[in-house]
Amino acid sequence: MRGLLLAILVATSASAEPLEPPAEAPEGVDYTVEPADTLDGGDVELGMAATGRAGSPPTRSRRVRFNGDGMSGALREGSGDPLAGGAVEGRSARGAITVGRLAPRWGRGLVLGAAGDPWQREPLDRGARAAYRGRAGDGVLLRPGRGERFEALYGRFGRQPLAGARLRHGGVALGGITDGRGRGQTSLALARGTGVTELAWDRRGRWRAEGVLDRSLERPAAAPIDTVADTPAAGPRDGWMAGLRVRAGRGGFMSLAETGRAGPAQALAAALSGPVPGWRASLLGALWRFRPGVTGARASLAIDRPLAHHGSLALGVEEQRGARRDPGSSGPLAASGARPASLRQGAWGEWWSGDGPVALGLRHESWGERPWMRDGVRSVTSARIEARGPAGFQLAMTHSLYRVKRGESLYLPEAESDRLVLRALSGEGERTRIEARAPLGGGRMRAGLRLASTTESRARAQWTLDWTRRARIRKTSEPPPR
Amino acid sequence: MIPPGFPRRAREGSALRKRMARCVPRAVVASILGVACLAIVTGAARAQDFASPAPAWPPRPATAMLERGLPAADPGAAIEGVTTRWHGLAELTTRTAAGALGWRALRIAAGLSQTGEPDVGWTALALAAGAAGPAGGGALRAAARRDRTTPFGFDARGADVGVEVGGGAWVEATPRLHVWASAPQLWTRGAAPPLARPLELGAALDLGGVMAWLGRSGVAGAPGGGRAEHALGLATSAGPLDLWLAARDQPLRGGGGLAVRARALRVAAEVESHPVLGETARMALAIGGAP
Repeated sequence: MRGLLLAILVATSASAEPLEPPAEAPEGVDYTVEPADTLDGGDVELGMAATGRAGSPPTRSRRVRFNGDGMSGALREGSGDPLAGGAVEGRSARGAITVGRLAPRWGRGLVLGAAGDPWQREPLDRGARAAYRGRAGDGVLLRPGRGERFEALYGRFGRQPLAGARLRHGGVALGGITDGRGRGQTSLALARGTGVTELAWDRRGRWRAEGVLDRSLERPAAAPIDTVADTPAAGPRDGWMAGLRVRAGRGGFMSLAETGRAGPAQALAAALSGPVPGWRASLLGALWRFRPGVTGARASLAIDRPLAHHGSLALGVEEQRGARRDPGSSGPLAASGARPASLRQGAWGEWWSGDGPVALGLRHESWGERPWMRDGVRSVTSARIEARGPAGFQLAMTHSLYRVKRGESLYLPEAESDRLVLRALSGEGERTRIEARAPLGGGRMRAGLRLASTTESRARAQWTLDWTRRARIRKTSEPPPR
Repeated sequence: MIPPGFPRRAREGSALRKRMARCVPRAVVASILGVACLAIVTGAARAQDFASPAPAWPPRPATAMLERGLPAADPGAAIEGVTTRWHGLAELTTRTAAGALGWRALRIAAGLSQTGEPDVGWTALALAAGAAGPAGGGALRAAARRDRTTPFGFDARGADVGVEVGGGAWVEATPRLHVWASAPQLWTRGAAPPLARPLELGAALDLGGVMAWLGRSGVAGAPGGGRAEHALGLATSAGPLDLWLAARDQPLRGGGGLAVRARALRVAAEVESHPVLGETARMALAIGGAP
């Protein structure tokens, strides 16, 4: 649960807000993402895993991560592993070069790095500061010199080769990408204080612009004049913060590098968060329009309260209207997530008892298609128990009970040792995960058993074994990378 | 006999129904099956072989561990005998004997239960093991059931056997707030259990002399689309007497219980009414455990 809660905390501004896969992920399919944790300098981590189920042979995977002087990287190998592949980064006084999996982000991501969904401040898996490592493409990213004033890249993004370069000076950045076949897009970004604005256009005159501004309401922000950050600092967390995002442009503009995450052409979102006695509250309102007739809106209120021993209590309500995705000009508007006037009202609550020999976590989430959450379409109730034994032994058990109406999507986050999996659920059923962790062979062994049953089928079992060892290869004075 | 659209588990039925169909008149089968089905449809209290007359909190040393996977906070030994008459039907009487032992943080319990008449009932054997302390506890429980063909019922060759494994845990959220979760049927094999046991979440608040609790339970495949059942209760003590009242929804119903303690001896009785099915009555005699 701590891993799950951490993932949720990192991934969303509201601590227990339901997680959703990005727009390009097919609906109703599990989505796997890798947390962007980093190793200390001089560390290397090895991992081996095997998983299987009754009636089918086990599948194996291996991974290695390292962070030494001047070089770091992560490689994964395994049949059917959605995270297979990797990236290696070399650093020196003359610059840095990254080879392999790339997920760079320029400005607001209109050209490179995915424009976030209107209800999200940033995409969760794009850019150097993202909570998760994404895969926008595979190739080479070069950053010569210091200060990241210039960068160039070449690789395959969305099944097409792309080349691009960007030059930055102070808070201004100008870049462009091309596919070498006459299509190109240009980005002009301005970062100032806690605000970032980007204007992007292509050779056919289509354009899109987005600006974001975050401001503390407690006292005037001491904004630095020159900054090179694409993502402005979030500001003090212990005061009231307001954020505003505005997007405008023509409907035909679509990033060459992120064709699956074009997002709506026009959007307006406002967020407000701050402390109320004993709690922290977050308010969000967003409106957007993909094209005429395909619009959407979302409003949410979430509150969370830290409890003793790292426990927490979080509650939230949300209303969604309209389309979350654009099915395209030929796509059916009745497809899931694209209903022109669909209403969804939901509420969730999550409680975690905190650290202790026995810890308990409870969560309930319910959605309806009529006001006051009537006519339920999605519902999930979960309980997690964690027990700590002697010699570092840990036992955890999670049980979830869900009901999803046909045509709806519900994702249940399951934190594993090296990834977060959003399990796509449908119908009615139960899921049980039993995990045992213990030190073994200088590393840590994790054994898991997953039971999934529906009202139509009896429980199917899937097992997982995962061994991870982290070691220090030599001392280094280099600070850990971002 | 089983209405269309009935949940799969109930439609599959237990070995009890198959044997009943062979051994007893169809009218009796129809009435008992109808009551059993109705009990599930209308959300009768989802207690089973090892339920004892007690408030939802605190958990009884032996029966709560076997029934819900909730170990008692206090160590020590306890034995308990319970008899339950379900919905006023003599044919559906459950007799239970259970014992628990606690040493330091370790808790173990075992129990034996028989339900129904020799030709139409079943025998259940349950074991549970876990750990508990003042701040929290958890346990795993397993139960096996087998049809009865003789009065004692251990020699039923060829009878269907069903096994279920589950667990539960509780923690002290604050010194006066106790929270628990129980999932008694995480894994089942063999003959389907008589009732689909839900994931139950609950909390009890100590108001100083009065304990109030709130519970929520739901089960996949239940009629109404897995809608949850809620329970609300109050318990208080006056000297050696414990008194509690409880109410449940879907359908709305209630009940109450009384327990008398004298040193290590505890005698308890509980009645729960049902608007359709009639009353369920439980009586228990326990020795040991925390006062």
